[in-house]
Amino acid sequence: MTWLVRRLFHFAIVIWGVTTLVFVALRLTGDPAMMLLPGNPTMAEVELAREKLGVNKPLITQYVAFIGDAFRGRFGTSFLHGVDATGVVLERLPATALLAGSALLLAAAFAIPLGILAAVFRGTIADFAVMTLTVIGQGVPFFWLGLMLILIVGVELRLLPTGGYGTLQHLVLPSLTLAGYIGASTARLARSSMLEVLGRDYMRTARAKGLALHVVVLKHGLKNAAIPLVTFLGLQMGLLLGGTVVVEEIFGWPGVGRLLLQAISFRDYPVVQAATFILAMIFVLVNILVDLVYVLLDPRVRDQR
Amino acid sequence: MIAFKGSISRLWTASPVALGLLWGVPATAQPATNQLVIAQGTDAVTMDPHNTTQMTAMQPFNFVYEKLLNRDKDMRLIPELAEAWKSLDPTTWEILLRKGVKFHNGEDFNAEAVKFTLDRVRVSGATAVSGGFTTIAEVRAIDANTVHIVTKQPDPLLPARLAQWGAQMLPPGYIKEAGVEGLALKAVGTGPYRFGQWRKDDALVFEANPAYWGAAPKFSRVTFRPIKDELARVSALTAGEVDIAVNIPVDFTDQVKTGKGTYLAQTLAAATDVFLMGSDEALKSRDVRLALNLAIDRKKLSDTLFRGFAKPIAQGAAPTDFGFNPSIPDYPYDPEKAKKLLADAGYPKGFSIVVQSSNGYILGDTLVVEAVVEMLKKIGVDAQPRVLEIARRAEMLGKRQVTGLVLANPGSTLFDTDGIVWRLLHPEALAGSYWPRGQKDTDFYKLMETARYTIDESARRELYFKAAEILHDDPPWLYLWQEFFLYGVNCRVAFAARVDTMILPASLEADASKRGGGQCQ
Amino acid sequence: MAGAGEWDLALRRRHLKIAVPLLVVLTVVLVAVFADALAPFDPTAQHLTYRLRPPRWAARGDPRFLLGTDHLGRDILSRLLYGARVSLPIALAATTTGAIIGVTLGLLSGYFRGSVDSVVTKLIDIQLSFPFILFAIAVIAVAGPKLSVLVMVLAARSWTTFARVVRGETFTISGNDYVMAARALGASQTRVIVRHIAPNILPLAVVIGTLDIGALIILESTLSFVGLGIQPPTVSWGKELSDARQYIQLAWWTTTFPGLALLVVVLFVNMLGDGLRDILDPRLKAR
Repeated sequence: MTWLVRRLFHFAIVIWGVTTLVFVALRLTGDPAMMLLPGNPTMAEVELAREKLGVNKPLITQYVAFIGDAFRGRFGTSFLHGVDATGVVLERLPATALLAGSALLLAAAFAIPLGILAAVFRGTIADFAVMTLTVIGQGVPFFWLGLMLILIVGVELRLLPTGGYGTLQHLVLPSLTLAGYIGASTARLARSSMLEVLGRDYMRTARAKGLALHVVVLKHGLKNAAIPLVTFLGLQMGLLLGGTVVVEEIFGWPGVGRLLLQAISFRDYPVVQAATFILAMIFVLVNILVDLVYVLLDPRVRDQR
Repeated sequence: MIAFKGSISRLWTASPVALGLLWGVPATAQPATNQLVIAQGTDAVTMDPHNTTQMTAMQPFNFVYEKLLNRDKDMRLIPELAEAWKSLDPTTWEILLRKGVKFHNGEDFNAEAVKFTLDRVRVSGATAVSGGFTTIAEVRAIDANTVHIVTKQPDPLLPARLAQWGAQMLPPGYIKEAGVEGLALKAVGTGPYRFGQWRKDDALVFEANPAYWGAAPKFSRVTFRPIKDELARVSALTAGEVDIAVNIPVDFTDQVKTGKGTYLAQTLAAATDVFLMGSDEALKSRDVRLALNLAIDRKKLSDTLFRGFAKPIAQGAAPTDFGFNPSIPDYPYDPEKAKKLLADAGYPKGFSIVVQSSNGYILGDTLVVEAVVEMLKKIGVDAQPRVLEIARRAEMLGKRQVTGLVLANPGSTLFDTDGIVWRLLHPEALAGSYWPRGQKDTDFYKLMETARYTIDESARRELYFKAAEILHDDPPWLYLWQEFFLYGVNCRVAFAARVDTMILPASLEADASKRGGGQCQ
Repeated sequence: MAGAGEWDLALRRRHLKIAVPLLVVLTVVLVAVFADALAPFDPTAQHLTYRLRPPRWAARGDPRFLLGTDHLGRDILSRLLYGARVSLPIALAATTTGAIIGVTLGLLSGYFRGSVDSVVTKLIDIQLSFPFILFAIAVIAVAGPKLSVLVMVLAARSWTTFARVVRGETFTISGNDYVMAARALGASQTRVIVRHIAPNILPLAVVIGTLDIGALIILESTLSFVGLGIQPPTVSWGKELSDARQYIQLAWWTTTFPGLALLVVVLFVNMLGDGLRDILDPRLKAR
């Protein structure tokens, strides 16, 4: 139990750290008033706008007010959209969650079995094929992959929509692209994890005892290979959320990534802060879940966390 | 987490996933024949027409909101919600309103609504569009269908102001009830289409308004989709998923023209591309600025980079603006003369200058910068390209701290030299502090200030013609060209592009026989 | 017990696994170094009347431009050759920086544990949960779009991997009898770290590094896609690919060649990493 409490404290600090750093980073990088006023504001108009937005007070005052509100989930009114920033972010969260979740599932469903296969049949054509696929997956920027999918599947073949949101059809290409992003490294990790486990003495003993290959693989191998894999997938959450920015841009997927990019460009402080806070919370939640699974699989590891 | 509670319930209702997704209609389904889908680069951020200057928000507004006046396809002022207007004296205008018009929520459109709307925008700094209405001193509702507008000083542009972006009429009752926040989320106007649904960043849907006072809406539904990536936008057009792709890059024009089922619609836009000149020492000299203008081979750039979709300019206003002087010649491409001018000005070995633009804000921006840099290098100027982040660029301009050259696309929503030139070059304005010739009490200053308050059209025109000569001989900017605005259109829709780049319900036809261009069979 | 002949073969295979990729990478490095001599054109020279020309052997190709031209009429071959000068060093510098930071923090964290570990793990998690795009924009906005800044941004992405793995290994090793014995005999902290722990960690770091470089090379391209990466007139493969993305269909050569260059280099660098891992310690396969 104390372990859980310690972890929660750890993550509370992490969220505080990220939120504060974002606060500082935003204010170092430019004046939102300038961004929002059209063409030709006079200096007086700019000052008026800054006051309306609340950015002309001393930094400390702003920070104190900000932290107080942040922990109540309030981040103010979006400069750009004119409505509550938290709402703006939460509106788009389901779309991103759907995308990231699908990509994770796809990667887990395809990459892990492929990796395991490659490990079990090491040195054969299957291994070579899988390794080649992963190499290609790691060697091209995934935005290129996404654009190719649009062109081939969407325009040439007209099998799926080229972008947009609303039905399962719209989900296929974007989640495939994102899955490609993390799939390659997931497959490699699955393979090397499995290889390492397979090479261990007790595995050879199990095989010598005459247990069938698939029993060996499934019962003993998987359980042990799972540990680094689970950690890895948990880590991928962070990468995934970053990757959704690009995929959402290309496919016109109405998610948080795209929103964050736009908000950053326009210095929409409340939305950037709300989005970062919420994303950090998600990251933390996923990590806690990963930790729990980890501990369940291997209690010895608790000390290392 | 009090604020989260309400948002979380919104999370569920906003999530179609939770309600069980079907595979969906086949991807190859085109929009139904009486529906229209328009793809733009970005989504609107608000439905409040007074608090955004985003063009991609203005387009949808054309369908649901209306103004007192509007412009026809030749950019002449025409009545919309106003039936007639005239100037009673130099500072008072009388507007007679159309009778029997209702807002989408059933409220009457009348003088009260006009007063409410104009009072909201005319306060300096109150809304994002207020800059265009500060000349208004008072608005009086004389009776239900008559309004008097009093200006602080004689304002020849008042009727034009009532037709500009931000002049959309709003319903006072709805705003009192739903507040400004309600207006930001749902548009309530008098137009031929009414607000249907807004799935942020995905689709903005409007439905036909059966109670519209004018010509019946031609489509049952109009949808706006934001597709930022240009390749994706054109792909959606080619795949038949959208009917109009707004603002496509020139390299795709062949594909759109020759593609089966699509054609290219184009127009000269009322915007020019120029490089604003900053506070560098060298730029203070007239000879230097002239030299830079002579060093650019505009025709070559237009032909190669833009496939001809760029019309060179050599004065501040665009050919479509009031006050454009047609007798002023284009600059010749003369690098030798440019080098000589530089030497005369004291820079025989050239000088260093940074050439800047942001990335993606203006179509082709980084290409133009790189090309211009090369041409400047040929006359001995050590030009360095630099990409500015949008916010950084806005800050530079706003704080009057421009150095080097910065790409900009000035345009006047009033189609007037005042808007495209003086609004920027006035000594207190964004680009005005750097140009010696435009400072207070110079001949140029006097010309522009007088013209701003001159009601008589031909007198005004004369003043602007003289000003144009100065702008040509002592250029404050590195002029480039007037932009073209390009649309990819599905052959089943007839669309006539307008100089103000706006898509109006009136410029669309679902009747296939009226399609433009011989590109469709 | 394997015979002498079999042993030789295994060794030779392992050496080949390193030699081949090493050779390829060295070739690329040489090409980058001698780009001036090899490239037919200045990579920034524009030939506006020859925009988007296909490679020499295709219909509208021009004999001067072997691999065709890009949207500003610049020779693609020359840009590829000069691009090597940027893509590789940036990724290498970023990985090295990330390694230095990550290994140091990981060592300290794993060895001293307690509050040091507490602080380091929080730093790691803060970095990981900080949206990368925001981080990149913030740093670049404050420090300017310089190459060195880009290296820092990329390094920020990679140090956490080093830190986490090194921390884990250090935990294990420092709990080791060998090490405890050394401490019991009075060896100073520094000595223990340097002589006993580091030698086990460093090979690991090298392997992670080689595998990381590939990811960073690709990340540079993604940063360009978002508008944050290399600035003109600098040329890099990643920027080439990103700039030309509009022309994937219209002018396939503008994206295919930079893409191939990226793919080949990442492929062989990864192979190098795999080979190094095989040689250094079979136990390390778990990574």
